[in-house]
Amino acid sequence: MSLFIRNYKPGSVYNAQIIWRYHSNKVDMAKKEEEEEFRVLDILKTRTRLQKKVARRTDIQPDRSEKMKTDQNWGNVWPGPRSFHPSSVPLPMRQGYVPKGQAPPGKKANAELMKVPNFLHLTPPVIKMQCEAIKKFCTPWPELLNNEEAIEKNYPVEIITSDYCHASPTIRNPLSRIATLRIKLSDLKLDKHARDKFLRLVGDKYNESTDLVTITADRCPIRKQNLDYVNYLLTACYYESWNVEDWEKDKTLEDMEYYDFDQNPSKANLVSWFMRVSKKGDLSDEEIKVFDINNIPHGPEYKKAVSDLFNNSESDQTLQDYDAAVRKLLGLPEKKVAQ
Amino acid sequence: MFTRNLRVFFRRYSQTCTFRTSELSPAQHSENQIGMFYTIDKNLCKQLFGHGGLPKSYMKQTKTFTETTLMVRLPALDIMNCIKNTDFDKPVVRYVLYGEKGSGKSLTMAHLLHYAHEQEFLIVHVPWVSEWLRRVPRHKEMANSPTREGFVDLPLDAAAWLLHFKTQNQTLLKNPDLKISKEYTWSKRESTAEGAPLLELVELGIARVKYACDVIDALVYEIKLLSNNKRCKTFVAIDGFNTFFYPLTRLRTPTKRTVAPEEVSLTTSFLTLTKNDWTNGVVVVTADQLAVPEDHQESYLPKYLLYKKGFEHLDPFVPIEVGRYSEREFLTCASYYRDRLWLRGPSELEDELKFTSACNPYKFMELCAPL
Amino acid sequence: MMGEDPETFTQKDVDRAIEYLFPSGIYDPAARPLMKPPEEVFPNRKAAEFDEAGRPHHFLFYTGKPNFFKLLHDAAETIQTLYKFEDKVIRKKEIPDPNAELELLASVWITREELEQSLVEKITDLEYDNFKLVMERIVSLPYSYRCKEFIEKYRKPLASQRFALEIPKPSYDQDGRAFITTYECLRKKARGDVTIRSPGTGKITINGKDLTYFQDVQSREQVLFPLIFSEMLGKVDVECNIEGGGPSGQSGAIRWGIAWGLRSFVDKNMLEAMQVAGLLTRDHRRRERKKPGQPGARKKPTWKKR
Repeated sequence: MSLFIRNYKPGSVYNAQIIWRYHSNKVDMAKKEEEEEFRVLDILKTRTRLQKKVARRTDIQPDRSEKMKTDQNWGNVWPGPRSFHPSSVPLPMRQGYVPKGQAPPGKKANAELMKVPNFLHLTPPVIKMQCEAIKKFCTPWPELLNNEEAIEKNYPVEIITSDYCHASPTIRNPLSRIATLRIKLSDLKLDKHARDKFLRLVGDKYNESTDLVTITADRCPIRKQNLDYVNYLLTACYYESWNVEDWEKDKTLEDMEYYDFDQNPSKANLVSWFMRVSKKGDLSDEEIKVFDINNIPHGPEYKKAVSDLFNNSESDQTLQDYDAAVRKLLGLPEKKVAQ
Repeated sequence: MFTRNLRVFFRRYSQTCTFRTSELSPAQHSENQIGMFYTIDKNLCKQLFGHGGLPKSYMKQTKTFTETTLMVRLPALDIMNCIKNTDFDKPVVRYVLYGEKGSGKSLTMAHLLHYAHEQEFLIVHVPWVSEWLRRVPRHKEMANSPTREGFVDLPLDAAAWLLHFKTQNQTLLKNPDLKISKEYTWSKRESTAEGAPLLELVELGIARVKYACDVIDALVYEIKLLSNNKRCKTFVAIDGFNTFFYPLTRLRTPTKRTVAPEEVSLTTSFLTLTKNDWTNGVVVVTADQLAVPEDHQESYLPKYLLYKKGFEHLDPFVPIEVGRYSEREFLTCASYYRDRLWLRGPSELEDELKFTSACNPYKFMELCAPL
Repeated sequence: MMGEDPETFTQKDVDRAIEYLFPSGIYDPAARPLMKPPEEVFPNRKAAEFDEAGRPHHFLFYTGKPNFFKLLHDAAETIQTLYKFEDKVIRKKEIPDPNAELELLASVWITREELEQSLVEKITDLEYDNFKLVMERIVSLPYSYRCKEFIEKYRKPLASQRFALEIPKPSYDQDGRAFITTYECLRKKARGDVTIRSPGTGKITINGKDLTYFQDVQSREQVLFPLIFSEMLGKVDVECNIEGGGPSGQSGAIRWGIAWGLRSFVDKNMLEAMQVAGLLTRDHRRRERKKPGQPGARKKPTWKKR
């Protein structure tokens, strides 16, 4: 009873952290009352409920995950890919989206956990162990190929393929058939014409900023075939670019891959301007073609400026060079610059 | 008495303030006046730019400010310097003004026109080529050329231009030296005799609109000849020159076929004028982004705008960039706007405006408008 | 299972391991698999409120919200004691210690939700306002520092202020100029990074272009605003790489990036002013999706009677 009174003190009773269930208290109290032989008048005739023994079936074993030891070898428990099984995984997993203030459902009978692909068979220790196991089949890395440059120099062709590892029933991913070949254009032995033709043949597979030719094939069902095809493409392009066909002689000015000053109207303009300045008669087209612009004062500079303007794309710098060259050519004062 | 005092006061004021120069003759402008404003006489302005030549927004501004002032800027001075040092016996030198939108190419050209007028050049000025080739009002007069097969005439535009030419060169055309070298027969009854003054040719073109394009052709030929013979110096200024090289115009023949710029007779005559096969003249053209449709406005550099064809037509030319305002130009411009009450508010405003407008003259003007 | 030492295995490692073993791509992180101690998983519930005799433990039980009113009660008691203390000090003719004053600028009152969580009771808006009123009153008293502990319990540090405290030191490039790069400047769909170099001439480079990268004045103003506000226009150089989104998103991202980078170059007062001006606040608004059955995100079809 003293306990009861102590509990009853209003100031000290309040303690939110202590959880006392109403029911259990009731039972406790009944026991104590019996001990002290003090009978309380039970007006409402509330009966103490007896704890019913829950009948347990004896043939159901307790969950296997509860019996697992903490130092077991997990690789033996979960040797291969398999969808999630609650009683084999001794982790208190939860998953599911629930309203605020509720806990997500546990691992048992939780379809969400089974949907998620799992890597329980590929834990770091298992991977390590398997690596150790296959180590004896591997050969050491060649010693001379110890840096990137050496690799690049001796093996300029780079083959890129992807292997996929995932938890689906099949181990083959259709994307693994794709093969990509990469090579630096400077590693191929090409002359001026062949290079131009090669670039025209590969088209947008050439990246100018990195100087890489990238050929990708995914048309065949197996990677081996794709690889063969990619190699074939590179070989074919290479040898084709060395061939000179008859029709290539018909190349016109518009087909030129670079700006050649001597073949363009700019030269004609320059020469005819020079003839007019020096008060000579006009020249015919052939004469203009063979005219040496070194005879014109500041002619070569002008030629260089115009070629730059066309070949290196128009920019402030090339335009300024052109400006300076023209002014020299025409005998004009130099450009004024703001102070 | 009061007005005189006022005038005296204003003169004093303009002498003291830093953004104005009292030097009204462009020939006398030098580097000391860079960034300063000078005023063009009203009558002269009317004569030179009465039929176009100044941008529309600038015209509006002159109306608001009740004066036509131009800033002395480096590109114009540069060209003037070049002209002064040119040997006029050599083939004509072509100058290409280029620059971003609204950086003042047309106003630089106006400055040069003023200079040319003062130096008694015969001015051949095309205010805006797109007016002919790209702007299509509801009733655009078009006709197939009677003299040349496969060409399209723009008689009204041509006549309007002749009028512009006439007003710009009022005084020079009265010179009796300017005579025609050969006889032109327009029709059975109409012809212009050899040795007739140039003015007669021009007036015929204005009066008989039908022949205006042919008159321009003849005029171009005569001007070249006269310049070669040292009868006159010629100043050719064409604004929006790159329109001539854009593959298509917005014109359509009565059969709904779109017209290429080469097929317009005006194009051919002005292209012959910009070749360098004549002497004693100066050619200034602009390459403007606004002169071509938006699909060809990625860059403001001249080779891009003129295409390879135009480049080869003009080269060797002198590219002159009309850039944004420099620090000094910006400050004088801002103080000018403050003087004209176009810009008000605290002085920190200018810093902000400088960055927001990125020192672009047109943008700066626009931004100041609501302030 | 992961082959690591269980002694040093923290909750963070657990989360990482779970992400490795059960890689789930579900959008909402709350719906992904988790493994946490039960205290975190199960929300706390109210304890039993009655004793054996059926009488409530709490003396304020019949107010309906005992914990909340207990709090108010305590607060009132605190005020009373503070008053008494003040009277005593005045009688002694002393003044409050100026050094011990409370630092309240860097923190705010906890929100209603947080208060509800700590009290395990639902509170109405009015009650929350009352709570704040009482606490403000305590704070306003001259000797409030004496009950610092009580006040600190209901305050939390200001979130952005906390970030502002950890301002990175600028690094130096080969020219000896201080520079600082802010990565992940996001706004709408635009993302990019902003580099600020300290002794500069006011050059602004956006994707290799100058300010003309933006056509419209509004975007340019957006970019310039933090510089003008902090009076750093013309004193620093700004370089931005930005992609995605439209002009307003990009300029907004740059604006935030510049303001964020400028923290290292301005003094404390300016920093606070920038904070107040909202320059250091990320704008998280995104485009709202269009709803089926109506023409826009919120717009409804024109209402027609029939």
